[in-house]
Amino acid sequence: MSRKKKDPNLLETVKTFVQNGRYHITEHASLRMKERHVILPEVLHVLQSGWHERKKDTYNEKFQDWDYAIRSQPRDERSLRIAVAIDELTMLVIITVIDLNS
Amino acid sequence: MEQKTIENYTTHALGFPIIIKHVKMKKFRDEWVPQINWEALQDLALWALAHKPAPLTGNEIRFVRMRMAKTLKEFAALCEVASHQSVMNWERKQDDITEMNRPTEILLRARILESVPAYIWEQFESKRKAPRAAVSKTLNEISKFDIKPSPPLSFSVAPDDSEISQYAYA
Repeated sequence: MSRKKKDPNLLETVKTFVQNGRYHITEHASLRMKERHVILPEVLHVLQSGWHERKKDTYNEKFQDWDYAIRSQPRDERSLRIAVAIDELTMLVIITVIDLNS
Repeated sequence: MEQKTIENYTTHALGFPIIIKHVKMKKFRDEWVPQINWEALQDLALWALAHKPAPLTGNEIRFVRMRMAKTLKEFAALCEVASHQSVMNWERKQDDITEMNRPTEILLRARILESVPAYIWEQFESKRKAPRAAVSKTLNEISKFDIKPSPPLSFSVAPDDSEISQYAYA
């Protein structure tokens, strides 16, 4: 079975979801955020201004879909990588948050 | 799709504990995901923090600054403090109160209210008419915080939809 294609305009898609408030946070991401003292406005900033780290995208075989990696810009206060998924083209789901400095 | 409701859901996503009542949860890839309008929650949190009955903590200041999308330097200028170092010191207090002086905190609370979107103002202040009375009431509200422990911030979601309808420090 062939893999689903990646979203060719990922950053635009993500930005639109964030600007429209159409995003959710998994319990796992909430826990990681708490542990790493990362707060939601920081995550949203990365999603709106970060870059797509294509090499870190992963394919979820069980659910037949992509988890995308978005990385903060070097000028940002903290170096973060956010993993996101797109739920049936209607909602952005924040899967996990990684603090690359820790 | 599998769903459930949690009566008291605690989140630290804004950097300080918030209890949200009646949160619907849905499954996404085997994991429960709270169905929260995070944008509304953040806007409402700004309003609540400006009216908090106790001084603001370092983590609350950090949330406010990041929600306003201000650098340390820009935030220092907004609060009329000389250096971004002051803001860093406030934020380093984390869950403790910042111990900034009272006039600075009152100014900061006014700045917070300035950044709150109009729809939140309308939700709480729709009956307000005369501008002088409005300014006087607002100043009174944001100045009456006291040095005492504050209960956690709590939001309620109306049972008939997913919108957050009320807040309380209780």
